[in-house]
This record gives sequence, C-alpha cells and structure tokens, in this order.
Amino acid sequence: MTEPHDAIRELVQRAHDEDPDRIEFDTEAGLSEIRSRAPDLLQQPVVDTNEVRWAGFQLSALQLSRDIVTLEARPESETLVRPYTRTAGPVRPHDIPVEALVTIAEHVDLSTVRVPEFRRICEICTRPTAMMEIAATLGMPYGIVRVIIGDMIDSRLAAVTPLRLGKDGRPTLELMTNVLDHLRDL
Amino acid sequence: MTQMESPGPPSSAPLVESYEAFYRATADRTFRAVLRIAAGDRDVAQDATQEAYCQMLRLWSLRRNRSIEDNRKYVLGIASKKVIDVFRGRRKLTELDDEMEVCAEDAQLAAVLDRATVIKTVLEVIVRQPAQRRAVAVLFFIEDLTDEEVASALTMNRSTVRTHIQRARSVLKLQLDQYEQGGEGV
Repeated sequence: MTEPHDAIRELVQRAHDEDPDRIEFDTEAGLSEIRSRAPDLLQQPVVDTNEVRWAGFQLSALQLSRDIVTLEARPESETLVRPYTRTAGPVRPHDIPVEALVTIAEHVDLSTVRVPEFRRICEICTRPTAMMEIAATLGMPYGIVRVIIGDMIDSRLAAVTPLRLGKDGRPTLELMTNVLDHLRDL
Repeated sequence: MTQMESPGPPSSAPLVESYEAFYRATADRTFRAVLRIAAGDRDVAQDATQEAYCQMLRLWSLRRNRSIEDNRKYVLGIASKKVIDVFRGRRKLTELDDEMEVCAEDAQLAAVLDRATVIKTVLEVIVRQPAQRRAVAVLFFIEDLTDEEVASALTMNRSTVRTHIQRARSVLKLQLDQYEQGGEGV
C-alpha cells in the first residue's frame, strides 16, 4: 500500500540516517558559543509586529521633521518609472506637516478610484497612517508621496490629521509617554 | 507602591534555561538537516545553524510557548535560507540545473545492487541538486514539513515548492527502483 512518494521519502530518510560520512554536531560547543552571545542577543529589540512598525514610524516622523531635505534627496526606488509621472506633472507639495496622519475619507468605494497610486494609498491607510509609513510601504520618495496625498486631499479622497502638539509647538507629554510606552513594549 | 518595583528587565535566567533545553533537544538534528542542504559543507552548515539559533534566542520571549516542533521548523527555515543565500553567491561555480543530465548519469549506474551503495547514491543525487531544490527536498522528505510549511519557511511560492518536489522525486525514483531491485532486507 506504499505510495511511490512515500517510498521515496522513506528511502531518503534512510539514506540520511545511514549516511556513512555522518558528521557529529558538538551540541555543548555550540551551546557555549550561544551562551557567550546570549547577553548581546537578549539586549537586541525584538522587531516582529505591525504595532512595532507603527510606533517606529511615529517616532521617526517626530525625529525627522526637520530633516526633510535629506529625506527628499534619498535615491529613488529602482523602478524605471520616474517619480514625476506618478505625481502626474510638476511637484506641487501641499503644506502638510511631516508628522500628520493621513486618513481616507469614509465610504470611499475603491472600485471608483482609478489612479493606481491613490488606490494603493487607500489600501494602506486602513487606519490613520503616517506619510513616512506610506512612503516606506510604497517604496517611493517621501516628497512624491506628499504630492500624491496633496492631490488626494484635493479630490476629497483623503484628509490629514495634524499631530496634537503642545502650545509651544513641541510634542505633548502625553504623546511622548505614548511613544515611550510603545517602545517599551517592543 | 508599584513604583517602588524595579522597572528593569525581568531576570533572563528562566528564559535562557528553557531556550537551552530547546537547543539541546533539537540542535543536532537541525545541524544534520542543514548540513545536507549545505551539500556537506561543514562550516557553512555550522554557521547557518548557529545564526538561526541566535535569531531564535532573540525571539525566544515571543516563541517559547510554541511547540518544540513548531520552533524547530522555524529554526530550520532560517538556517536553510542562510545556506541558500551562501550558495546563491556561489552560483556561478555550481553545475547547471539540468535534470536530464542527472538522469542520464544515474542510468549508467544500473549495475548498482548493493544497499549501501544505493544509499550513497541517493545522497549524491541530493548533493547534485541546486541549493534551493536541495533545501526543499531535505525539508520535505527528511524533515517532514508539508509543502505549505516549506513554502513559508523558505519564502517561496507553494507551486514552486511542488515543482521542486516533483523534480526531486523523478530523479530519486530511479534510485528507489534500484533499491527495491537490490532486495530490501527489512
């Protein structure tokens, strides 16, 4: 009743087990190497979930808000499509603060969104999303994404929520505690 | 007063202990499978195995409650990918992926009857496969992963995995026939 593939599996397993040139693994030596590296390894942050990505982008948006020039000068993605074709013309950046969160207008019917970039962004923004995160997900320069989102705002597809800043224009204690809490959770 | 409790990281002793138990229980078997994927290259196999276990240690706080089998497969997947990467770098030096050539070569071994030789030939056939197919074959035939598990472990398309399995089978089928002709004394 043995099916051919089962027989093959059996043969391969047997060959693997009966390998005449079998090399033994030194578990203890391996373990002592791992032990010596354990303190370093356990110190490293565990980056695995979407929540972590979310918190990270929020933080980077805060840190990088004064450094947009560098970000825009970032080499473009490897695609052959030039960025200005994506923005359908000259670059007219909207005055959107870098840390603003993008929200897609409610009841948007994706099938009516014809521009591929708009549609991708609608798909990404299932919750208020940082522009930097959208840029990273699309693999497009931040400056281009900013223009596209500006166009989306013009066509009433998207809206931006500025980050709640304190009176002095700096992040509020509440926001910073929030970011810190998320970082601790990592 | 909760604030009196130290906010420092919890002691890592029990964590490391449970990790070491996992290492002891699985490392040898993982290494042997990885060595097979690395076509017997001991250094590559050792490095890949250790690196994969290091990565696991990093994630251990998240994964320790999963089954040992689950975690073993996870480590195996990481290590296999590392081996494939090494061999990808060496691709120019490896044989062409020409199935017919392999079959023709095997057909010349028709005189082989003795079991030990067949086993050796099976292992040689595996060694001659391109690295990716070798990884698929080892994970599927020897380590009993399903095609779906192999696909996710190696970040490959499931149908690609199936194609690899199919090809590996057709090459191994010749060995199986000889093995059965040679009289299985079990």
